[in-house]
Amino acid sequence: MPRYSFTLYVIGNTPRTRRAERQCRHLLGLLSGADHQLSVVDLLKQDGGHLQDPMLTPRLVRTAPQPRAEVVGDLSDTMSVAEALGLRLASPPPGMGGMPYSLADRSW
Amino acid sequence: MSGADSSSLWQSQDSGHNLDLLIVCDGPGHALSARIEAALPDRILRPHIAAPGTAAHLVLPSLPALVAVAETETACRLIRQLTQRPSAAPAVAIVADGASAASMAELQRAGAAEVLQLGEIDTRLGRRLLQRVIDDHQRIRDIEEWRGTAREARKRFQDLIDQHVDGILIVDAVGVCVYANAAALALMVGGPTGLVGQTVGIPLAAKDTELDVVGADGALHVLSLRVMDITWDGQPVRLASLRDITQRVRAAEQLRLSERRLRAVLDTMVEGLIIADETGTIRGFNPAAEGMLGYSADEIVGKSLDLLLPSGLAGAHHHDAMLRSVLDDGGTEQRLPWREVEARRKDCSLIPVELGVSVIEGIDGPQDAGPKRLFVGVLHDITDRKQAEANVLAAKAQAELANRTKSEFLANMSHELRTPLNAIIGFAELIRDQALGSDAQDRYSDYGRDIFESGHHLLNLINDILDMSRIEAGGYVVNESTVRLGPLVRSCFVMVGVRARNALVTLVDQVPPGLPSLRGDVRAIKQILLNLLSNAVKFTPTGGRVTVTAVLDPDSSLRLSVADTGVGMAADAIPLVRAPFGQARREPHRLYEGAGLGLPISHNLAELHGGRLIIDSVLGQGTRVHVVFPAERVIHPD
Repeated sequence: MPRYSFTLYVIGNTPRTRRAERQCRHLLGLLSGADHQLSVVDLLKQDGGHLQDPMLTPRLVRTAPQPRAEVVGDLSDTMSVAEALGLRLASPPPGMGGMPYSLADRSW
Repeated sequence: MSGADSSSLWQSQDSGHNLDLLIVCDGPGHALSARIEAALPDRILRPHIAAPGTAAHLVLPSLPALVAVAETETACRLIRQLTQRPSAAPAVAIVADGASAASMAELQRAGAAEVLQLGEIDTRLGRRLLQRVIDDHQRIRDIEEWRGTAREARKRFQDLIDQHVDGILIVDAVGVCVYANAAALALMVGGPTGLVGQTVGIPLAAKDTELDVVGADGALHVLSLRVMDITWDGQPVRLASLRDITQRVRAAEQLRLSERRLRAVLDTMVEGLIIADETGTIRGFNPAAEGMLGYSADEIVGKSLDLLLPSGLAGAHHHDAMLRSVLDDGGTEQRLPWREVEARRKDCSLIPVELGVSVIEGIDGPQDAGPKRLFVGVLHDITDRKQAEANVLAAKAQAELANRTKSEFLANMSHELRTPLNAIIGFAELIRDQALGSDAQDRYSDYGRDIFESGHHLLNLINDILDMSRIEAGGYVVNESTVRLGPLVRSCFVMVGVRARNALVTLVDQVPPGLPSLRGDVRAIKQILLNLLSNAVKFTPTGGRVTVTAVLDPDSSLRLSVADTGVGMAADAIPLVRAPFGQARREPHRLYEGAGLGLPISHNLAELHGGRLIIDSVLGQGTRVHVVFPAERVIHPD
């Protein structure tokens, strides 16, 4: 069984951060039985070194298994994120009538 | 001819690079010209063959060509010059039949596309070769033209995204940036070599995707992200377009925050808040208003204000008039004075409210209709205050009534007290003065008896008054003991027996044997029973009957009842006799003696025992008075 590691980079506790984290956990909940761990890194709480990189966030990085795969966006389109990160989901999320699936688009 | 001549001649043809074909004839030209002309493809040209040592250029609509006739050495130089120029026309060299292979090779080396012998020009092979040279050149020109267009398009695209106001990143399939425009570099911090080569991640955009970034200025920015799949240098890539929407987002957040704050204020304020437009349609309704008026915001918004403040209710008229004056006036930013009106709740009950109205400029509504005004009504429920006011008024009325009653009582009482006192003094005076002489001893004895009875009557009156005032002052102490009703009723019968016999009223004791005893003050209970019995005897005409019964009610309380066959009371008279001094106050004819304190005293004494007095009477059909003692006062033998 593959062991997945993910890092979610965010900048500050913004509505975008909260939403991405929610989407991220939703996505990982759909991983087909795979062991996974997620660490969330707030770049504002890191030493300045991280910020030398072009950091557009929210950015989700699959750090294991190798090779790394990274996406940047609000992670609302679960299927696209899974595809870009090479993840297989346990079951197609409900409500997929050819439309990209996303969590109910609640305004915060 | 000199090389310099032909060279200068050639160089004068600056448009030479537009030539499609150069024909260089190695040898004397005159003899050749006709044959060359014949050999050239029809559609190309009808060349004018220049004289030896000169060059003639022919500019034809479809295909410019230059035909020069020169020595081999000059021809080679011409060919070299020509073919080195960009977009040069191909050169065809025509040599005399039997020209040396060396000179033909030299011409070839100089760059001639074809070297033909004179004799070949008008053969099929010669024509085909010429044609091929022309076609090849045409193809090359086409390709170059296409390349130029493509280059131009590419440059235009590049310029476009270079100069684009949005930040543009082109990201390859694994998330590495392969291009970033100036705007993108201004938006975010890049590495030492800018953004190209850095990993940014595969951009994924849904609707309205927003990103956070630490900008090149070190501040936090919010960017909107749009993504397009394109091909870049033959590779499928993603074009991410980033726009700085920080100000918009901050403004929206600020607005949302202030709206939330305002909403919280409206939700938590104690006052009801109703917003209505100029047509009287309700537009807003806060929770306090919901609680006050019983409607939920969902059901009342959009309805007419008349539901809540119907015209015709107290204050509405004045309020309407005031609103109308504001409407007619057309001004905004007004504040109407607070006033009291009645509001109608959902259950149709009315509540008194204090209403303050502000007129503000509304922001919704069609623009062409001019500025719409909104009426913001603040409602303060003053039910409690009104109730308190009413209570004070009632208490005042009660106090005044009590005061008047006491005065009336005093007036009656003085009459009641004066009558026996007058008798006492009068009769005593007669006896003292021996007014009837010394031999009227019998009469004096009668007077003495009258004095005695009047004194007794007076004493009873005073006792009643003292009892009443003691009970009302809370000074009556209940001495708890076991009271057996049977003996009590019998002893009371003895006490009222004389009066009953005199009035020919029958006393009936129907208290069942084995009735439980009561816990209470024997003196008080006896006083109650005596009062009721003497009332019953007093108001029962000759030949009537007074019956005492006692039963245990289903709720285990004990009910002692005195029923008579007397005059009875009208229903509206019952509350009066319960009130102290009621009889004294309301009976104009004073048919019956007594201060009217018997029932109030009995009532108060029953209440001291936790019980109550129930009067059940119909005018002309007798009266039943029940004294109910609560279950806890009943002693069950066990």
